[in-house]
Amino acid sequence: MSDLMIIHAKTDGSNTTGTFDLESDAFSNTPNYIRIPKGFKLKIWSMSVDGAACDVDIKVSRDGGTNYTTVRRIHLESADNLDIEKKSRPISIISSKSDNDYVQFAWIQSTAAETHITMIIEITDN
Amino acid sequence: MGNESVVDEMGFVREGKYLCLIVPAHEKILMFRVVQRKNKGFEKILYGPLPYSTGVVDGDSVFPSASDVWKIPAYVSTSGDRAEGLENLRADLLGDIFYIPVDMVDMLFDVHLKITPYFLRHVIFYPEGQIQSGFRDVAADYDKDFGFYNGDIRYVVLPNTHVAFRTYNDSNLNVYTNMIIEYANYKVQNVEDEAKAEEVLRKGNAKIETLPYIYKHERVETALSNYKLLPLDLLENARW
Repeated sequence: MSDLMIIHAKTDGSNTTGTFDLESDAFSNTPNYIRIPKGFKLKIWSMSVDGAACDVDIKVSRDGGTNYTTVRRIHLESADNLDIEKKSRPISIISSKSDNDYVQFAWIQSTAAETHITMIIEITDN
Repeated sequence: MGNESVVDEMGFVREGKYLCLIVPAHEKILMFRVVQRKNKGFEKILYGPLPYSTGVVDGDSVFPSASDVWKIPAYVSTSGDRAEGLENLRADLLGDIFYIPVDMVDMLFDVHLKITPYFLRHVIFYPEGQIQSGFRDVAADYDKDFGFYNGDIRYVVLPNTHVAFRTYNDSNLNVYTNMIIEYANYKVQNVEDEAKAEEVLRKGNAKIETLPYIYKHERVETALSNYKLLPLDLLENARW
């Protein structure tokens, strides 16, 4: 069993690096990370990057957010729209084995400008 | 979903068939013949958010609180998105729509809750005041990694029993919740004869389900006193 969520976020337009604040109609807060419930997996099924040139890093912490490791980078070369989706398999899977497994999304830009990301994620126990 | 001649596609017992409840607290079984399904054909309630407040369960929090529980009330006055019409129930049912008065011994509810998000953890109180989840002798509450339900919760409501829950959100997301309820309102006859019960079980004419009742509570004991508990070993030759 699982829950699908569509998540939207954007760069702040004024900093060349930063962490996305995540918005969704599935939840009411705007966290800058997701703590995966213990025993579940977070699957990212698709990501759309729209706007100015931008690298989007998918980052994972195993220590409750103190240290993050980048597990995937999505690169938008120039102002455009980039859709990443793999047929019948997620573009990234992060498993949670403790209460300290976090996922974060960060941006890196050469010139600060507004870029939007939209993701379909799934939180699942299989 | 079990034997199709005994249960329908939703897992509810067909009229004329039997419901066998294993009662762990007594190491006995209870058997009922389902005489009638009073809500046959309209088993669904689109309940809406979990009751109380906004229905949002905050991240890393306990709902309604670490010391409180939620039942299934008819409506909550602070919110307008509850199941329309339940407010017309009798006054004594407004706080728990599946409550059965103690003297209504021929009535049971078979309840299936489908709660999203699926990852929320729910611990059950059967009845309110007595948590039932655990591992061996260790009682489990919201802060344990065992003894909880995710998403789907099935239980049978005995008379005199307020079933209640406590919910924990192990993520950091303040999630909007939704609950769809499927239920069967059974008119039942208690099977008191061991030979009859053994025959029913042997022929596979019963849906067998375990009551979430491990630790005794006086309200449930009162309800059980109106029925004949039968030996657990009648299950030995049961067709499941």
